[in-house]
Amino acid sequence: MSEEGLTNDEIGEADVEQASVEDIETLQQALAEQKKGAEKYLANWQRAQADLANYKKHVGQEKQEILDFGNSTLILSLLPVVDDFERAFKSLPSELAEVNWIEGIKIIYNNLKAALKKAGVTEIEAKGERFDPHLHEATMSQVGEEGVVLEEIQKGYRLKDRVLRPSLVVVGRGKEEIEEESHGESSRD
Amino acid sequence: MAKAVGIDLGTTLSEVAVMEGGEPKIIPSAEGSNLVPSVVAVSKTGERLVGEIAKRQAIVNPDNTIFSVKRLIGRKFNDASVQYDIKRLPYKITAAPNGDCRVVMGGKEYSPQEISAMILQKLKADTEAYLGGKVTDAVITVPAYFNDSQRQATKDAGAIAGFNVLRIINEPTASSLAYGMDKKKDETIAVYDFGGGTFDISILDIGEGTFQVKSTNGDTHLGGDDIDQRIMDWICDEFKKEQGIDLKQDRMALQRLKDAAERAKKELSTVVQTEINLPFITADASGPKHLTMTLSRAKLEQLSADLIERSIGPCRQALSDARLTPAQINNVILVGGQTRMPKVQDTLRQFFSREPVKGVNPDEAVALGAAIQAGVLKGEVGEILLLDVTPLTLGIETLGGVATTLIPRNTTIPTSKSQIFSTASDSQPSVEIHVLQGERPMAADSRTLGRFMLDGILPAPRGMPQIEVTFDIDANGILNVSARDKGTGKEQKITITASSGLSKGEVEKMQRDAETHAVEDAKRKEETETRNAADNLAYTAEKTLREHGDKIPGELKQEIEGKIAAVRSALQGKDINAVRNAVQELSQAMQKVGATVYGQPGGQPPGGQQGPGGEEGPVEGEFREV
Repeated sequence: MSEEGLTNDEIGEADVEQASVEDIETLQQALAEQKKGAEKYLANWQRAQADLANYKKHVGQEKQEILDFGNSTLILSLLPVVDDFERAFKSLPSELAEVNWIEGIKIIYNNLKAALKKAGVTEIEAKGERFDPHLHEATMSQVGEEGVVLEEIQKGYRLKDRVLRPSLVVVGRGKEEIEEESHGESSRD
Repeated sequence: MAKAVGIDLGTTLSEVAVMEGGEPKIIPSAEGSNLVPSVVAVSKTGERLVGEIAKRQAIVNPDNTIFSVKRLIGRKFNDASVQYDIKRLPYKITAAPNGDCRVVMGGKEYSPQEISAMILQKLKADTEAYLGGKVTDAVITVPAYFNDSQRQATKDAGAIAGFNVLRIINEPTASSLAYGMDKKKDETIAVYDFGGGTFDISILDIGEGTFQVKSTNGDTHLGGDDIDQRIMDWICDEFKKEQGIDLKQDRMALQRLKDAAERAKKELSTVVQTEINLPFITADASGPKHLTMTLSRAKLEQLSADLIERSIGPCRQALSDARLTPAQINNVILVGGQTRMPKVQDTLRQFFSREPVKGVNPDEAVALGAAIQAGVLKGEVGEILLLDVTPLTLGIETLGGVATTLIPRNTTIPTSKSQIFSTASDSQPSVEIHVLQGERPMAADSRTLGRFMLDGILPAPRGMPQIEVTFDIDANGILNVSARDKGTGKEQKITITASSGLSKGEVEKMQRDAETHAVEDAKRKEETETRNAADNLAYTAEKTLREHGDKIPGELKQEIEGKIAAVRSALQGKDINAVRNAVQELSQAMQKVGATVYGQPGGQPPGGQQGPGGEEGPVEGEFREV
């Protein structure tokens, strides 16, 4: 391209008469088009570079995310096992309570919880706290102190600073004042 | 330049996606989920809540929690469908002076546009946090059946949220884009969207990048949630039969059942049977009760058969409205999580007599497609060079007929790769560069693209000369292969034009061949490697004897010579185990040499044992990375 331009230019200098005005105009037009093209390519190249730079940043962010929360799916699938242990102990028949074998199972449960704790899993406080949708999920409301968690149906957990599973709770809706143990019907279906 | 986003503003869930590195990508919410519930609330303390947080408190704050506002947007209060929904929605809906709907939240009236805007604002804020910059341009999707006023209202919602709405596009159009259907010419496609709560079928005409909705139909109250409910009912009934206890009365048990039912349904899309185990689900006077059941895919299909069948009526109607028969549909694409269910796909396969198109995450297709449209409108897509990939692996033949990869398949082009190779025998004067294409590990099974010689290599022991081989593919797929002797600077090259005109079918055949022959190929390659190693060991042993022969006792020398001969003769034969045994014998004998020469038991023999070598091969297979 540039060679051609140079040759034409030389001819132009050598013999101005012969180079018609149209030729120059055509060349100028071609040059303008090329310049425009070059600008476009530069812009696209810059955009591609910027895109890559941004993409790299995101990959970095995502790696951190995977490091911090990559095991959350596994932990989420283990939490029901913790729930099951707790349910089992809650309904432990009194005649078994003193059996040493049961004690061993309790140690297994504690080990499981310790392993989760080490991974950054912590329990969310619920019963008696003010209902907070950032931490708790209301499954029903009952007569009781308004806006307070009356009962925890399923324990909630955090993984590091993120809510992994909100607590499923029953929330007080006031009205008949604070009446312990009053089983109101659910507010709506 | 600021990015433009694509937004799937759904009835129950919303999603946002952006083009990144030429591909659309879903942006996770601040809570770490890809999906944001389309729910807005004002808490008792006056705090505005959007998404997951709003949904969690819906039950204790039903009057001030707005969901499904998409059912109201752009509709008049007197509209029959609004009147129908008013009976089902727990929050208050009133009429505006102009006849539009208003919803009441926190004692204040809001237009549905304002509520939608709050959802959009949340998506915008999360996107900005993720991308680390302002986001203003957006493409928002609406159902194909939305009329002008519903579209305008959606656009207004975008504006209220601070977006510059580039365009409102139809959900099935967005899905088609996600599936790359815009590249098709003159096709008629069906978009089957079976989501959590609604079902839509759309028939689209595609031509030259334009999409025209020919007809649309659906069921606004049919979805995957109905199937979950069927599973729950089944579990409850079975449990009642076995244990005589009605779990439906137990809130806690129901919650666990709901999770278990959904999990079982998802699992049955990939396995044919799943266990539902819920220990201590309840208790009676006799003690705790456990729920253990097996749900098979067949049973699930039986439980949900009529629900899936219900989607076929609208399909039939949509086709008849478009004056088409199922056979006239060129492609059926799947949208919505429920389309993962094999039974749904079977039903569609039967109805349309063709395989539905899969491959895009059905939960994300709409948002991904909207992001593609946003990219097109911002000039990010189309303007930017379309980058191609090499469909097949490219490499050269090395010692023993092995195809050594330089550029693996699916590498984005333009690209280039250099690697250093060496000679296979002492004083080898030239090397042949045999350029190969294909997925098989042996040169004989690959396709030859070209070959050339590089000569004038100065006499040197094998493995010493450094031959740099460079593969360079430009954007047009033209491959330049050059080989340069780093010692002399001598260079040879060859240019091979665009993959030598392999048709798509041929490419696919080569890829399939590679898969079918994977096991035998691996075995052959391993044999070759064993042979190369054997040859190299014999060479090293010979060299050791030559260089250190005076330090080695005659008896040992004889033993080694015998074993070298054994290796050489085993290499002539076909029995690979004989080669292995001979190699083992020789390398044990060589260790004695090491011990003698260095006076250390177990020392490495001089020259080491790295790398294959030996027979007159085209190019020595070992290399060092550049």
